[in-house]
Amino acid sequence: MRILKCHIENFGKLSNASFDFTEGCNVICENNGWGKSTLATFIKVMFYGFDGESKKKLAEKEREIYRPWQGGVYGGQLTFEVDGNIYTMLRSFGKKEADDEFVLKDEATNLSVDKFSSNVGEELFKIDSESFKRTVYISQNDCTTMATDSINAKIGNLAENTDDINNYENVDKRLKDILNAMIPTRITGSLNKIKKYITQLTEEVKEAESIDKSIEEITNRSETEKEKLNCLKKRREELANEQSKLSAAKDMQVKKEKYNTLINEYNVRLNEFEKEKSYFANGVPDETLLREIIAEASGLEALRQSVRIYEPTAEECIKYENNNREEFSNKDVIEKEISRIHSLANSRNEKKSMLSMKKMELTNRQTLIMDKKNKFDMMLLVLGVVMLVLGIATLIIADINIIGILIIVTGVVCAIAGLVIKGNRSKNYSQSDSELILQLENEIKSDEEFISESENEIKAFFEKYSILYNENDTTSQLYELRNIIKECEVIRKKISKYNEAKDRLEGEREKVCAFIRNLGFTPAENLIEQLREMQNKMQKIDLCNKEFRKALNAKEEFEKNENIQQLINIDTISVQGQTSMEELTEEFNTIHHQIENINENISLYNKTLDDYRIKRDDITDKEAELEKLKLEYAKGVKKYNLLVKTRELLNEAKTSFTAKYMQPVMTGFAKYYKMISKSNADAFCIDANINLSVNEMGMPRDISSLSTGNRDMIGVCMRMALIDAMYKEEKPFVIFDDPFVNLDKDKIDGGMEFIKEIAHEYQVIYFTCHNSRV
Amino acid sequence: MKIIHVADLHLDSKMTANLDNIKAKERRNELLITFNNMISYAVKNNIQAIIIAGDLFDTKNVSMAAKNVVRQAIENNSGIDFYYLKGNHDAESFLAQLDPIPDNLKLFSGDWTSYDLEEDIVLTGVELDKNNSNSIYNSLVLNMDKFNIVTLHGQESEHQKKDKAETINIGELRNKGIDYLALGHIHTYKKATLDARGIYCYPGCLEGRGFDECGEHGFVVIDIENKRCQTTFVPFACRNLYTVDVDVTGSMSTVDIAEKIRGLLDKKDYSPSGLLKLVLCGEIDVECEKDVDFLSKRFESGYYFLKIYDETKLKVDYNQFALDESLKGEFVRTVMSSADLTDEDKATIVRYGIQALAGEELN
Repeated sequence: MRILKCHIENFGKLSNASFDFTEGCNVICENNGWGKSTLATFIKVMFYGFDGESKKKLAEKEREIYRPWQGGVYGGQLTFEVDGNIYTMLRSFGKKEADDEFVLKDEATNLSVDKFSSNVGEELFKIDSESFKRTVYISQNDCTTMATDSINAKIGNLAENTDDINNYENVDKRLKDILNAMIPTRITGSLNKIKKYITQLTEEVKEAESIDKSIEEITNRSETEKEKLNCLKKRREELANEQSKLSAAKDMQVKKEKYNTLINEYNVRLNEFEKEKSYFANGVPDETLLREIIAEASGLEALRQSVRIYEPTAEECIKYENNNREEFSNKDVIEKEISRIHSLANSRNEKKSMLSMKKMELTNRQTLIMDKKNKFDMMLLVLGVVMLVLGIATLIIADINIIGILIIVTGVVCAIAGLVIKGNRSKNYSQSDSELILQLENEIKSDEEFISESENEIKAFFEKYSILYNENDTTSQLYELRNIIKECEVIRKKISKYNEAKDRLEGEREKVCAFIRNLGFTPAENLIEQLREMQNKMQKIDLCNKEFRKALNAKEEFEKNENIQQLINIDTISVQGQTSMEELTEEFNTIHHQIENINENISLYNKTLDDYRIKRDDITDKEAELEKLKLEYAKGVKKYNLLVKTRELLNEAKTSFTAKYMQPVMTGFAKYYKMISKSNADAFCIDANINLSVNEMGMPRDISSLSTGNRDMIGVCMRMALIDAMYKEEKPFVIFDDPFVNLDKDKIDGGMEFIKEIAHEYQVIYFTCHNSRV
Repeated sequence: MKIIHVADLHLDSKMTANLDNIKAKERRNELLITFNNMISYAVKNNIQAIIIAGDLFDTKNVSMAAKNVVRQAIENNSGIDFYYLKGNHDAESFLAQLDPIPDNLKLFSGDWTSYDLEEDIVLTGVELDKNNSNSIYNSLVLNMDKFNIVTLHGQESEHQKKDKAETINIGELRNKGIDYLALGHIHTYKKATLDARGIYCYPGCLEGRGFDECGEHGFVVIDIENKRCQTTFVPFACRNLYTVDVDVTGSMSTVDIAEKIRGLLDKKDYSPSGLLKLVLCGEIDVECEKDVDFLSKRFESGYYFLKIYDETKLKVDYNQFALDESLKGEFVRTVMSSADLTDEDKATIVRYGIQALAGEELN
């Protein structure tokens, strides 16, 4: 494999620079600052990209270090040959890796190919960037080397199978991390944590024994209490039975007493009832009838009152005796008689009046006839006026109508007669005087007769009724008679009602008395009182009857419900002889209280037991967890131990594996060492890790103790020995970036010889700043 | 007369050995539901008595829910008599809270207790403890004219073991006139001849709880007529557990192993409600890529619960590495030459080393 040419667009200080490379040695001798290291880095970057991408500081980032000073496209191209094919890779670099661009072209076709990816370095050389820098890229200040995994793999010519050895460091680190995470001896180790938890659980589980003991003890106590409880319950049951029996006996006793009481009550009520009933010798009357009789008896007083009201007084009796006539009984007849007498009296009076006038007329006529008769008309007129006045006065003052009217009529007649007489005097006087006088005389006579007869009749009428007759006051007398008749009528009616009431009173009373007599009693003066007493008695009898019935019913009901014979047979003395109910109750209560206390204790024991059992269950869980953890721990420890062993054996294998390739590397080193230093490398030795040491003063010393020049020389030799061991067939290019700057003059010659020598096998790109090292 | 013989219900069992808290709680509830379903079965099938031959509960501390379920089941089914013989897991705390004890709950004690189930059927039982475990055999006297059921809770044995309260000496119970020996304690159904006259039977647990209780579970129905009985095992568990060995010999990758598991599961056709434990066995190459977590995730969705145990042996072909010029080859050869390691450890170390070199998980 060799580089043919490269072109740098911009990279660090280099810009638009092209370089061609030939087989063998390509020397680039330029002054310091020309950009040799930049070119060397460009070649490395073209194959591997930038290092230090993960560095935080910009100064440590290769991408930043070589960012073009003058700006422009950051990148370039490089043409190389491998296996007879020529490829050109073009790279441009952005601000970050993701912005980078990579193109690979086959020079034969000028087409892009994917023979290699952007990781072309690793794909070509089978080593990583770090290993590349330590072998084929030998920079000015980093000549020393040590084998990396890639180098070891390459040395073993295991280009096709380098994953395992390449990855050894990671594997070892991973195993170390896993073991550290598990380690039982550190607190951070998972096994240690499990162990700690196991210890904790073991301690907790130890409590099980004490808890079991407590459970057993509490269970025993609880059992003892339960036994006590059973005894007490048994005794309580016995007491309850005794109480029950005693209570039953007491009940029977009470019942018996109650029965006796019922019988006594019954007898008392019966006696009372019979006694009350005996009041009525002829049997207890019907209450309704008695009430009716009482009502009737109450009506007797009203009748008695009526009798008293209608009873005539002595005066009335005398008056009635004296005045009453048979005729009065016929009211119409007597009234007609009185009216007739009254008419008769009126007629008489009229006759009397007319008689006077007739007599006066007769006189006048006679006067007239006898001269003196002229004055007669005047007298009649005066008389007439006087009578008229008198009649009016009588009407007004005396209120005697008939008389007044008669007087007025008489007066009017007199006046009219006077006027007529006066008027007729001149013309009639002479012709009929004699006839008129006669007629008048006849009439007077007739009237006088009538008056006389009437008088007699009226007088006889009044006398009949023992009324002193007064011919001038017949009307008043008749009025008086009417009053007498009326009075007699009143008295008669009263007497009639009196008699009627009296008869009724007697009848009613007799009825009541008959009722009383029928009951076997002699009617008392005050019947009501007597009847009321009877009624009261009846009410009392009824009450007694009710009480008696009640007592009877109670007795019968009791007899119906209870075994009377058993009650009668109760031995009262034996009941009284037993333990008293109070004593039994007291003992029962005491035991009940004790049972409650024991139940409370048992309940507490149970609660405590429950608590302990919960704890015990927890511990059982913990025991199970402990067992599980112990298994897990044992399994973990086994795994840990096996992993430790795995790591040890893997390390042993790696050592053994790499040891096989120590000799070729050592041979190569000795060859190149002799080539440069002109002396043998006998004092040097190499270990399985390709670490070189030098024997000085009898002891193997690290090459870091040597001078810088020697270190560089040894490093270059070691690198070339490694490259020889790594690449048996296809030889890579080797970059030397002025590696002999620290060497002595004679050793520089050796170095030049070394370059010439290796240029036979390798394409060498050798940078130097001085012709002395060309 | 029909009788249910059930035992080892282990109500209130924690169920957390394999399951997470949510599923464990679900399974605890399922234990109670199965118990109730069994009562419903009894009602529907005219069962007159249920013999609970021990371990009704799992712990001494019974939850209130479990107590209530059992109490209500007994109280609400007064037509069925429950004959409850306490086992080594049962506690008094359940009975202590039953005050009064229901009439249809019949109990046993440390002395032989007999109940006449019918005129000719007698149930006799005793609760074993360290005091009576040796003496019960001589004190058992049965009426030979009756159909005798005897119930006990303990491990069957042909001989009495010292200081083992839970041991039932089957030999001592022969020729005692027992027709049916109703036992409890063993969690798998078992029926065997006791003597010329009788049989003994473990109904197993009602519901499997862990992978040590795989297979079908339920109870036994005893049908007695004219002093002759027929017994039927009734599978009744709502879920069954299965342990399945999967031979993955020759597999070189997780995909190969998954195919073998798939093939076996398809063939067996386990119920999706089941709980499966797959045990990978056989020999696999030390370089076989195997991801058990992936396999668990791959198959767990098909079942109520599934877990995979890796019990495969590693096979190392040492000849394969004899000329292997690599660190791996050197490593295998180095391990091979280690005299202080067992073959198993060597295989494991080789696997670890190869996995480490390949950047794989170390398992």
